[in-house]
Amino acid sequence: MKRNIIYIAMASVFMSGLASCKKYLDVNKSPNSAESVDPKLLFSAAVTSYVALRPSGDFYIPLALGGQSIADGGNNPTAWDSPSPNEYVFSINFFGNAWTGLYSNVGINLKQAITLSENATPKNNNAAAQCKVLWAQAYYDLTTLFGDVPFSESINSEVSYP
Amino acid sequence: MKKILLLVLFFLPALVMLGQSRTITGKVTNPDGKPVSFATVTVKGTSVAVSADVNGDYSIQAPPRAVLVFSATSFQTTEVNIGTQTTISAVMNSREVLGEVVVTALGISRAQKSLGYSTTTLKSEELTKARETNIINSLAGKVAGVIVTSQSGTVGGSSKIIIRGVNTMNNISTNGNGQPIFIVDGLPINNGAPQINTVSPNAANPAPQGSNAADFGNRGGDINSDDIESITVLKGAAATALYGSRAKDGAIIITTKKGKKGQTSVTLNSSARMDQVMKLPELQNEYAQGNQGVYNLANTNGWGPKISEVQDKTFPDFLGRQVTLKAYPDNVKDFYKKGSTFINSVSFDGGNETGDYRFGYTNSKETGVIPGEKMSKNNIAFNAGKNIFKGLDIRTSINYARTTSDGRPIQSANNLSVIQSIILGLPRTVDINEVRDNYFDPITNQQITLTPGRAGNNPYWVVNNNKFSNTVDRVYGNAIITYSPVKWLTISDNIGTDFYYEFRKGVTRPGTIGALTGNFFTANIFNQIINNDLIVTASKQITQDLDLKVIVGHNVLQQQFRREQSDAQGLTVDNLYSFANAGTVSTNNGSTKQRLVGAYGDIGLSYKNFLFLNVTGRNDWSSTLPIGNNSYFYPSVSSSFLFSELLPNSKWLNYGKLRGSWANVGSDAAPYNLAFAYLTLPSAYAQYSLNIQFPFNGLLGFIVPNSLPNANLKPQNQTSFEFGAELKMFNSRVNLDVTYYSSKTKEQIISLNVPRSTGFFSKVINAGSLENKGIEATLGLVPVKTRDITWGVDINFFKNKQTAQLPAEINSYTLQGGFSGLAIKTKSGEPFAIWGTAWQRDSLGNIVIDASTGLRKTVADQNLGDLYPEWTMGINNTFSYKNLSLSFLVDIREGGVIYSNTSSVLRTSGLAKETAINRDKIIIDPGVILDPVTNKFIPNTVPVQSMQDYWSQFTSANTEGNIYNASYVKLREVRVSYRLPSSILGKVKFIKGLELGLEARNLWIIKSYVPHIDPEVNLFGSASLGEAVEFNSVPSSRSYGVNLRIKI
Repeated sequence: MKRNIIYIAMASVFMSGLASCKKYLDVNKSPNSAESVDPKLLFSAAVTSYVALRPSGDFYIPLALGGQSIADGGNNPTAWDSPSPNEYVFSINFFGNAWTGLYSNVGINLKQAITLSENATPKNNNAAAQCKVLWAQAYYDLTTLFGDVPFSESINSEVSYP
Repeated sequence: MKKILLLVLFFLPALVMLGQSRTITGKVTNPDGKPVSFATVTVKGTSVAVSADVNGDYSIQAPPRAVLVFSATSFQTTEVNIGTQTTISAVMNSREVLGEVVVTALGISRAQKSLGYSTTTLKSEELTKARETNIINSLAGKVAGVIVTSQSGTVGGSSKIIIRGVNTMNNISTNGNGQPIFIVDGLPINNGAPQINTVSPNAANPAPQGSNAADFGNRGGDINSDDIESITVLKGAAATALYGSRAKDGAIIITTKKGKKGQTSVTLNSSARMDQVMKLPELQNEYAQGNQGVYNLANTNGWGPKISEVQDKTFPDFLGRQVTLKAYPDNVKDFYKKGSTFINSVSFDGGNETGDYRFGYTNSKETGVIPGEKMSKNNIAFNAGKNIFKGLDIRTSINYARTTSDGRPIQSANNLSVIQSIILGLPRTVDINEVRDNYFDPITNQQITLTPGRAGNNPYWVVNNNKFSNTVDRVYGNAIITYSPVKWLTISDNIGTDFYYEFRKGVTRPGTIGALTGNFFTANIFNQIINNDLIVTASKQITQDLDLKVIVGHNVLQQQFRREQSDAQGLTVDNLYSFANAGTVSTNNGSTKQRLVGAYGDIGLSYKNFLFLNVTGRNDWSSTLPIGNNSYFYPSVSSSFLFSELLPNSKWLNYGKLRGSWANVGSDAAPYNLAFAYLTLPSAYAQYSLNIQFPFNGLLGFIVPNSLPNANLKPQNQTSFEFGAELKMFNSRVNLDVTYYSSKTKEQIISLNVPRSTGFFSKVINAGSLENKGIEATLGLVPVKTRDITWGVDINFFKNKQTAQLPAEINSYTLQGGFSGLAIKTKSGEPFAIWGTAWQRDSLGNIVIDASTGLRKTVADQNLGDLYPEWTMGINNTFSYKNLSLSFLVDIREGGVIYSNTSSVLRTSGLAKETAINRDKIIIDPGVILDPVTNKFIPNTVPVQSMQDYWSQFTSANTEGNIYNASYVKLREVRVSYRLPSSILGKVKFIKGLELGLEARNLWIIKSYVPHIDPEVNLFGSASLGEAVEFNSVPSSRSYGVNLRIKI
């Protein structure tokens, strides 16, 4: 009899442990990030990143603001003397930031904002259009700096190496 | 019986001489109350001895307050303090023949002989002499298969422990970084070293404040060595398989001290030690600061004129005076102080038939070698057990640890308050005493810098003003209820929690160069573990020869981490570190929670006490993996065979055992790696320009995560096997333990870098595998053993080979990006290695020289050497003569490389001793140049313009120039101790034992290949997989002092 009580007690403890298990483990929702946001917030991140990028790194050449700095050689790592005063050398120290900035800080957030706006009910075409204009501008900068760049396969989580 | 009678008669005169002796009578029994026949009873410290009779009854003459020692074959020797009593009944616990008991996974005690895997146990004796304030350091060099690396010389700094090689490429897991789990009395506790990224002290370069930058220590350091009875290192997965998903990196099983039945005692243990910088850089003392031989106060370096040649001239010094130049050879040495360590502990313990208790208090106070660096630690431990009624026992253990520290030095780079970088850059002509006395100008209220251009900070400004401190309040403890309703069944439940609150603060005073308006940060960290284990054990003798033991268990584990931090920039009022005083304050927070439910079982069979088999299985359900993949099963099998039991008794072989095991375990992911979720963007990055801070015009920015999560993540999977042998020969004078092991961890959860044109920086995937194979050997020798003299040698050896396998499309995998092109990477078929810029070489290995400058050419991204040693060895010698004993531990590491930034700084700045050579000459660097005509390499003929140009090649950007062989031989520990003989103690009635010791740690680097630094440091800290990089780390220290232990 004593033995049976022990078995029953043990079995019930284990059963109760397993039954509540599924709910108990459901804690993997991050309190640090949002699962959905308004596309305007992605747009604001993207546009601000774009604005921050535009007068910095390699992109500040056309800006009058940079005139003083350009006169001293600017970001040209060997100043204007080498290899010749007529050449600007694109340095790996800078253009990597433009690539990262335009694809990973600007592009992906715009693309996500477009997806969210177009899938919203009702469709938010105005928001999508604003994003597309800025995205086009970003691609203009990308091709200016790098020439041919990935487009159709880029910013697609299915494609690891566009 | 006759013999005993003779013995008694022989000692009778002695008894008569001890005039005040009384007759003590009593009975010797086993725990079940049955008599122990013919036990030997002796009065401790004398040669008075009698034998109990067949019923366990005895009678002996003993002085008051003496200690009776009871010994009998197959029983543990027991001591009882008689006090003023005249009737003493002793209970003796049985001891299996050669039956050392080892605490294994989940606190299950098992006989050493039955284990099918390798374990090592360190007893409290090992831990309380030459005590380390960080318990992990006391394992260094003592256990085969274990590598301990202290991360810096910071007081209370962190240490990293790796068992049998790193099994993880996973730099995103919470229990990642390849360190074992820590278990105290069955409760898993936290050994984290959380990094928090602060915008202070320099908004453009967020500084990780954790074990790198300022080293706040690893939380395993909270454990107090005086409260520990034993530490068992479980190395292989088979040993830890019952821990399931947390088992793959091994386990450190700590058992705390308990009160002993039948005696009440008070133990005092005091240590006082002095700490000194272990290795100072070798500096030149011939050249002053400047550029290409011309004195310039603006250059904090050694490229100025030769001091002896300009004695007829005067130059301005940093205080604006015109002085004749003079070298101060000790200015770096004198910056460092002598540190001190005081550890005082007291404990009370006792017990009777039904209960026991122990209370311990330890206070440690340390000051470091950097001025202003200090730490204090208070530990309170309470452990009590009680038998409520027959079959029901309860035990509670509770530990409180409080650590406070101040002045933790800033290490690493990108911060003008990094103290080592300032000290190593001190020109040879600067008097450190003047720097100390003149760091602040009371008239202008400004810092006095070493250069007129105010390019760097005065070191004393930094140590006196820019303080990084932390306070940790930690409680860990558990309650165990054990109920044994019938003899064959035990049900026990172990519930416990470990939580700590840590407050960190780092301030940079306004006026600090690099942060003129000042800043500070505060952070609150909370970490909690709640664990419950319900274990049912049933044992049954199936036949006369076959025993069965079945364990079934259920485990619930919850881990929680929370952090809130605020960074304040732009302080208005000096010396006021209040958020209300700041121009901008940015606050952020984060938290994680994960849960695990496990069910496990262990079936153990033993046949005739020489053949043992254990099969375990555990199923885990983890909250961090996708619902479909979150349940996984881990089995293990282990077996041991005592072949010596089958052999005829032989003189040379006392004990022989073969063992083997196989296990399959794994681990889950860090929380929140599955779902796609948006994050806030704190600021938009602008290179060489001003970042744009959010909120921008009142609007927040959200971004998609930089790392693409993976909704189909699978648990990592490790398969391992080991086999080994244990031999005790020649009366246990030669003891050998050899193990071969192999483990392969597949389905690594890694964050793989992807091209940024995907929009992501990285993605989380299951890919790659890591293999570790190696040999562990422990050899114990007792070459000399006489009545008075014993000489013992213990040697442990460990060799490991690590190999990574990556998917075909991944060329290499970066574990840790670093500084100036340095990275820790791995490729398929290779171990972890340092990669970086290397000298360009021709096909014969000659360095290629640039024909236009005479300087070396470089190539980027080359393998510069393995991270981990090829093998390590520890040799411990113990000599004892009567009550005097001497022991010393030599620790050897062979193989692996280290990158030294200290060496880079000292060489490029012309301060290292070697840079003084050839200054007045023009040298030609041996190497080859490319002949433009024949397009072939010919010997170099192009000279380097100056030694300053030559040494400038050794900047941190040229990784190879600062890579060294990390092998070393160290005298790790020396202890001399003298136990006061009882003949002297006998006069002081109330003292049971007194031991006096001299102790020294890290006494001497016998052999090292790295100039200027101790090769045992690490920038990345214990929380990271990165290793073998030194970047302005606080130098490690040598400590020596005295120790006094009294037992009352």
